[in-house]
Amino acid sequence: MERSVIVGGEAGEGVKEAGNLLSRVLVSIGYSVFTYHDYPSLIRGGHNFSSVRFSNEEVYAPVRKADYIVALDDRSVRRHRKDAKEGTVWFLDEKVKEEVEGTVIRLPFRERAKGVMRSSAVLGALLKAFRIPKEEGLSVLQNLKNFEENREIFEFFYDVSQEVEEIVEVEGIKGEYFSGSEGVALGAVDGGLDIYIAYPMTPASPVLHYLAAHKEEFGIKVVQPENEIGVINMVLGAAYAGGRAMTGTSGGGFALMTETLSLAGMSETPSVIYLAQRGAPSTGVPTYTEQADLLFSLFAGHGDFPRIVVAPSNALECYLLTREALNLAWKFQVPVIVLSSKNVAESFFTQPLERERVVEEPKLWDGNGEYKRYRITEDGISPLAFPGTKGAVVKATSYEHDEMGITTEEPEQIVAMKNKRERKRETIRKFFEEKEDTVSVGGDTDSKRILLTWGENWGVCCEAGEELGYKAVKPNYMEPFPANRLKKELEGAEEVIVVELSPAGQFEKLLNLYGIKPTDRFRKYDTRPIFKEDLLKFLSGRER
Amino acid sequence: MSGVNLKTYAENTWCPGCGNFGILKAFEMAVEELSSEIPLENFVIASGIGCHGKIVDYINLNSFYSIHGRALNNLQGMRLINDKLICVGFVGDGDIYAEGISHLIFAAKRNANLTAIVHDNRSYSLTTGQFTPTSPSHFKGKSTPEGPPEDPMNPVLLMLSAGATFVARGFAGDIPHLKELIKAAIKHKGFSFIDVLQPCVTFYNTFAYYRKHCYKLEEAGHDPTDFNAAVERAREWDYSADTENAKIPIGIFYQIEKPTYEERV
Repeated sequence: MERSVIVGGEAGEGVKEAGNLLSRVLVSIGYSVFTYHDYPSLIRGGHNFSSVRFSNEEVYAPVRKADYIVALDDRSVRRHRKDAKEGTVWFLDEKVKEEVEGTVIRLPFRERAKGVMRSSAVLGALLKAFRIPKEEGLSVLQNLKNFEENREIFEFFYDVSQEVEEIVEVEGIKGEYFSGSEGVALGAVDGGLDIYIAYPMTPASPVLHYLAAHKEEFGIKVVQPENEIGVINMVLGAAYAGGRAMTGTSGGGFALMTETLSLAGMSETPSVIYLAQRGAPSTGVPTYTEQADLLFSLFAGHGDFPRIVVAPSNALECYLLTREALNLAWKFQVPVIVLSSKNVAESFFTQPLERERVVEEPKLWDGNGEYKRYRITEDGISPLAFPGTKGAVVKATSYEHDEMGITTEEPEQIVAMKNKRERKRETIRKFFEEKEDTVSVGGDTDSKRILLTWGENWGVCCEAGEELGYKAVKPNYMEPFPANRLKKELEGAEEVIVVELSPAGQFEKLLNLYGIKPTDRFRKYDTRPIFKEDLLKFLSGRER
Repeated sequence: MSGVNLKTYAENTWCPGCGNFGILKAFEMAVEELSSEIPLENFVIASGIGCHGKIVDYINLNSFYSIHGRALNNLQGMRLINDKLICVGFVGDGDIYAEGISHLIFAAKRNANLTAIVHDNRSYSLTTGQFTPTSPSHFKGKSTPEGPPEDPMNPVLLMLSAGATFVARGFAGDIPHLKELIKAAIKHKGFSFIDVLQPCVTFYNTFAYYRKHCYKLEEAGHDPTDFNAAVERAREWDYSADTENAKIPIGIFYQIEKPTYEERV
């Protein structure tokens, strides 16, 4: 049993909130819910919509067609007429003039509820339609700030709406309902985060907001400096002093950080950058999605230095990989980029989230002898000490340097230090070579037909693969790139179709770099995520 | 003096007679005198890029040799993690008045508890002599053979309006006076700013001029708690008119107490 609901209206009238409230009720009665929030770059007016897809089986991707469409205005009807199925039930605001086919339930949403509280009205209308008991809605509403007002609105609409079908409670809780952004934030906290330093930028800002709202509970600091250059330099300073620091931004902000990324590489300062991609280049399409910063994230920064890039595909992976990112940054004293995109960052998933604090101790100075920040070691990793340590003078630097951290221009010392950093790269490569979970496999895992993808397309590739007989494969880390494991998964493949959100095919270029040659490609770059129907249509169209 | 050894093995590569030696000496003396109350391991110095930046290689203290214009943000990050650290940023006029001007203004606006010592030689010297934000309009540099087509900024006035709670000017040719300023700046709780007139013997040698025209605020009866008086003193010299009747105040223009950034975060 699977259903989907679209709620459409203007920005500022609770569209997103309605989607989330409904989702939380559905999750509480046992459903797996995937919720996609679509909004333009404006604060009031325009057209927002949220698409809530739920099933008693796991769902991880957005769909275009809806069984229920709530339209708070005429524009919503016009925009979503194409998304209706044969039996779609429409909930229209009383003032809507547009005509629709099929079942229509007219309700005074706009007259009876103001602004964001229309979300409670929509919730009431839908729960009645689904014959879900009122109490289920109330227990979710209870968490809202002005519960009483919302309750009144909710109950009014519950009472005046109509029953359509019964959405019964199903077996077993599927998990927590949370977004990629929340996953990143919680992962950072459980990876030992001390301070989050960020300048606002969509779609990375929800992490900043979430951590700022909960900073006391998490025992962390959250600050917003003057710009991304100031941000990343504060991150490095905090790390130099021994604090686990992280920032978040999107492509433009990351571009500003790249000079300091190179400083992190040279000074070997542990740092974590959450990079949430959006439609690019330049300001691009700020509130929508793309995967066209992939090569930028891998090659940003002048000079040679090792880095790690992790690429989560859903909320749970955001949690796990961000937590790991903090540990990797400190284990290897390198910058780590958590590379996500809008449809991971701002979509909500239903996944089991078992929080556990995992903070591995980095390689620390043992206190013996003279402290040398850049001691030449076999694995390329020098023990850390922090300012304030008696007996240690900690000298970090942007210049090429000797073991003490004093500037050098001597060829032998330069080569020795470059070799040290390259040995560290090799240490990291080996670590990842031995890691078991660098590649994920899903869909029809016995198939010889492969959908090769990364990041936010994972859910849709798994679902489409299962339906049409394709094996879905993706790297979970983009640097070091798990090429050998990928090749193993592709052994004997009859075809390899690359699925990505980049007009130039950045992921395919990366695969080529490692000698992986796909046979076909699906590239989407209208900055919307891949809706399940899109991929099914593409794959069906090329069926032999 | 105690036996504190602040020297490293790094070879000093400043030009003979460089104004930076005066700043280095004054800072070393200040640290020696403060070492009875501040453990040396709690000092962190940072620098930007330029001739000034080399200073961190010459001092045996914790240091973060940053990139051009960003050192003050590195220090702010450190302070948010460990507020026992005594953070001193050595920055240049090209470094912090051009490349890093936004960071300087915001460090002052936030009242971050650190000290910014600007080696203001009014010339990009490590890049062999171009004009900086404090070069006078008659400065004939390699990129502007006829002089810059713009007037200099007045960093003292800028810092006063940005909200700095300790604003001073020193002269690298008066080491005992500069040492006292540095000590006062380090002891000040909040953002301390010292613009140090630092002659560049190669590209802009102003030693004789400053010697002749500098006067000390504390000897002129200036009240550093009076903001309007501070502004008036700051306007006495605009970094442009290097004329014969110029009067250049050095000393503390302004000092007040306010909660620091680290306390408020």
